[in-house]
Amino acid sequence: MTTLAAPRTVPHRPVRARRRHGGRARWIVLVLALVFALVPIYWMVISALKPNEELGLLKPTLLPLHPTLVQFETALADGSLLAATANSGLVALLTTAAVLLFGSAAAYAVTQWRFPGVGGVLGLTLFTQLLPQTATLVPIYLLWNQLGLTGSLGGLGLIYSLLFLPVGVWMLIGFFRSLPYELTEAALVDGASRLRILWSIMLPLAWPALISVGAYTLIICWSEFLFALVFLNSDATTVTVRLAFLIGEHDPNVGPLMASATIATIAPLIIFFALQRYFVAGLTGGAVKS
Amino acid sequence: MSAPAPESPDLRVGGLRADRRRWGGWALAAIPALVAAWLVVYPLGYNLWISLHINRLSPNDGAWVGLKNYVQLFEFGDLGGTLWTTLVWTVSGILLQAVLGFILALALDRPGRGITLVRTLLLTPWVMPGVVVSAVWLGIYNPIGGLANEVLSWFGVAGHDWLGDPNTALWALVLTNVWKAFPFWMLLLSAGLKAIPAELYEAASLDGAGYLRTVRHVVIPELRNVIVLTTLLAFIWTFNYFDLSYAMTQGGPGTSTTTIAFDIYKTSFVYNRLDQGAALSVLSFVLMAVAIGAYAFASRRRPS
Repeated sequence: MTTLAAPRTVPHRPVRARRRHGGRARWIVLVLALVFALVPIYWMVISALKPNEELGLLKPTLLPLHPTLVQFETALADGSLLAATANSGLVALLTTAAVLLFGSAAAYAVTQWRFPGVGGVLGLTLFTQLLPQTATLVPIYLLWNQLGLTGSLGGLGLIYSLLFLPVGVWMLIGFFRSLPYELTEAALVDGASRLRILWSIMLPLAWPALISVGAYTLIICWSEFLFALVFLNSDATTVTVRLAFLIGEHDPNVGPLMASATIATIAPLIIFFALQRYFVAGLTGGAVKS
Repeated sequence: MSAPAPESPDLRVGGLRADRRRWGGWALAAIPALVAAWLVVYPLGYNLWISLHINRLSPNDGAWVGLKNYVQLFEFGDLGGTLWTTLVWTVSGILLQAVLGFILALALDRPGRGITLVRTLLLTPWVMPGVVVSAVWLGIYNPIGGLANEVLSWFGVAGHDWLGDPNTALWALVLTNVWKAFPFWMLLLSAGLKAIPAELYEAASLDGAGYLRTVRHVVIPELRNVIVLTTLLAFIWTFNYFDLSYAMTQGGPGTSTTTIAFDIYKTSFVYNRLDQGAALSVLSFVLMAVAIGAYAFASRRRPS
């Protein structure tokens, strides 16, 4: 395999030599990886589309012979899955709003409002990421119980906001740091207040960052399982806990289970595919630049 | 990864008001700082406190017992087995994710629309909730009509109840976790690859280095910081990952998939022994701190 510099393909950016060798090997690897990544998802969806007789076959069919929505009807029949889905959506939205509100204010203060001790804020937010979340479960549960916050979606949203705020701040700081300080300087000279600068100058510029952190927070809230399992009662819970309950039933019925799993993953997948550019930028920005 | 110190001093418009402005800045930054401090100090401290007292829905709750909960951890139950399972789960998971993620990051390291689409599709498993992933893979491992045994039968391999056999259940979970988490490695390593300057590749090519030599002597050293960071994050995440053990196997069969994260949950909320769960939590804090410290030390000393 020889190494050749690729012609300029991306103007306005430092030219990177791209090796053109191994084109075929590259695609073989990628196609195999795609099969590995996507076949399980395909399996979930087609299992949800098969009638029970077909799911009971000892030799499974790779394409549904008689596609049907009957499994989805069964999964949605008693309404508890939809209720749990709505609960997940509500908690995820509340948490994301809180993280964006307090997170962007803090990221703005840290990057555009020069004061001593900034490094400490950043260090602390990172340090929380080193702690095992399972190991924080017992103390937080006992406190929430004393405060009467267990068993309520608001209580769960509060602990999610606390748990996910540090990551959000960390990601937002990465973005806000790239905004030129001259903007704040000029606005201060013009007599604008700090909050006004944040609201009318910084936030409009930072919206890709807000989308990115918002998408990330929505998805991790939606996916969270452990705290939801412990903090909520089984009659008013989130979609992940509901799905785990369906899995745990003594005779898990594969069809409705796969239909429920499909329903539970639609929202995060839509958010991801719609916003994937921001999502990816937000995650890798902080990790690689700093 | 420390914060860069602000380079230009604050603009002192209005002299006297500068101080008040600074306090305003602190007020905004204080919320996450306090949250972060609380998230660190409170669970650590309160875990220690609980673990030294009785807290198991008994009439003696609140009585001081010293280190008895810790002693019981070692005397009863299967702490050694749990730690071994946790070690196998964490190390094998991270290694497989890293290798797969690195190969794919290299394969994706080329501009192009097709590549972007492939990368997005490859990220899908990582965005799916852990419980959904569990349901998907339960369907695949299902001994009746599951995909795993069907595919193996094409190659003449006999079917097996992968999750029902204590010898294979942990590996079945590790594979599921690799499926879910390899995109994270792929994503971070991809971003790292983009930051490698073209001159390095050119220099390697002028020196007549082939692809594998370039990867070994140029790419991997250049990626060192990203690899260290990703390993750290993946370690924390894998060590604590609870969803699969709970939803796929309930830590079983027997205790074959009981990691320390699952054990904390089971001890605290199934057996209602919050004191012992707290002792386990303290132990897991210590183990993680030791592992992270050792790793940071080792990766610092290696010549770069």
